[in-house]
Amino acid sequence: MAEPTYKIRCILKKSASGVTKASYCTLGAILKFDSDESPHCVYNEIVAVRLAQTCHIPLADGVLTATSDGPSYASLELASPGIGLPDMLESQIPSVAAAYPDAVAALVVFDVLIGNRDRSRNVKASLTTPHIPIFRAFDHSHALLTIHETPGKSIAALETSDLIATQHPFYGFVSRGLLNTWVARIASTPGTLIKECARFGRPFRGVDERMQEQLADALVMRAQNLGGVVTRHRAVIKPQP
Amino acid sequence: MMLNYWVIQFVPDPLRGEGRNVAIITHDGERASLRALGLDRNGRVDLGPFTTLAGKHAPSAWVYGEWVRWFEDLSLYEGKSVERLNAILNDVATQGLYFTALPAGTVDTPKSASLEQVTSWLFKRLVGKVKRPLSRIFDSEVEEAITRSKIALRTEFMRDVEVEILAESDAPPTLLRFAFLLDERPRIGFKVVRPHAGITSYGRQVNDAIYTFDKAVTAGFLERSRCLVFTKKPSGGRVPLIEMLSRSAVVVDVSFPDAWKTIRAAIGSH
Repeated sequence: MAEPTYKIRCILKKSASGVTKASYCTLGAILKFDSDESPHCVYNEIVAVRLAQTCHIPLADGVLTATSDGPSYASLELASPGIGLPDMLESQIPSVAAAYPDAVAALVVFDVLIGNRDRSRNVKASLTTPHIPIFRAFDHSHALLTIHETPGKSIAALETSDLIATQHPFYGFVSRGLLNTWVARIASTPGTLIKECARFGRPFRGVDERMQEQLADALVMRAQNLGGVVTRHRAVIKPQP
Repeated sequence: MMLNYWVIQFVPDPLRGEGRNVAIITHDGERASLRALGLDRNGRVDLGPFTTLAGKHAPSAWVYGEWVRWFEDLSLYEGKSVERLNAILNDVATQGLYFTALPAGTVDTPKSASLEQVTSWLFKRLVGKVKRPLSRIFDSEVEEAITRSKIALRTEFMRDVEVEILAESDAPPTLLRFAFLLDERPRIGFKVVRPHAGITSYGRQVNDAIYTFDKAVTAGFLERSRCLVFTKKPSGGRVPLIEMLSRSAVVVDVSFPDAWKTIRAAIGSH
């Protein structure tokens, strides 16, 4: 998949030395914070992006940053410097699915893996500029530890064969062949790599190490069972030939 | 007939918050209609006018084309109800800093006027035309020809290319510059002669193009039939210069709507 460019707010100064002639710069980002509605938002977002980077899922990149309230998640703004893309409309779903079948399949499987109940329109995709292909998903505040009202119930849900993501914009538009490819690909991702995505080695905001380990184990189990989950709920996912 | 309408603004500096009107959406209670800067009746978007008013954001003007497509899809497929349209347009400003939709209100129109006529009238009043420097128009015409020919979709298509032709003897290599290059065999090289330059600069550009193509052909880098120059029909003292150039290259007048076909013809045998 084509790598998107990110917004660069300004180039500050070149570093003094180095053959790569690196420069300091600032990047534009959307800051996400924990809230009453999503008490583990920051943890969810960073784990989601780590998993996506491990499995090469087309998510908008992001980093942890520090604010006066503690760590927050900075989701990097997409598209060229200056003007951002709009969020996908419902009426654009078929066009997006046709233009980015592989990315769509990857996203569907990823959302099933992390139990993302709220993909909704949280996708940005270029549709009219063929030489600048961009497809990136964002916002994972309603997945992982926030599937249900408590982290314990959320982790328990991930350990089952429930689909969890009972609604998804690309159900009915995803290619069956590509869906199977991505299921196999994620299912074969080494468990150690998946676990490392959920671990911080220390308590992270309201998520202690025990909870991180439980989520890590649940994600490994779910990844290994992905084929069964997808097969069981094929009538909901409705993959197309 | 009472119509609801919204003004779409581009906000080049979100800190200042000053918007430039770029589009109008209207709704007559049953359906929506859109007029946007650069959008023609066939649904094609000329990015030139927006590029002109985009200022420092000109390099990302292509994103405007995506937004126009977004507003078109919104009007056509999701604009059945005023309430739904309003809800989505209210959300535009939350999707980024640079576009916003202002609910401008209602307008009372004669029953004989169609929705499209009223939308066009509002567009003329509230958006109008963007005055563009001649050089910007030429640039957009060059881009239009490139886009319509689809040469830019080729993986070996490059912009601002420098080619080093090595000499057989100990002589220094020859450096040639091309505005665009399709590096697939057989190659196609492009130069640009800017038509609005002063006569001296114009002559220099022509000489440079002749030199470049002659060197490229002699070295076997290009075939004569695949040396293309983008320019416009000359007048006065520039005519003999272009006639001289036409002996070294295919001259493409980008102000002709079919200019892209000349590029396609050169690609044709690929």
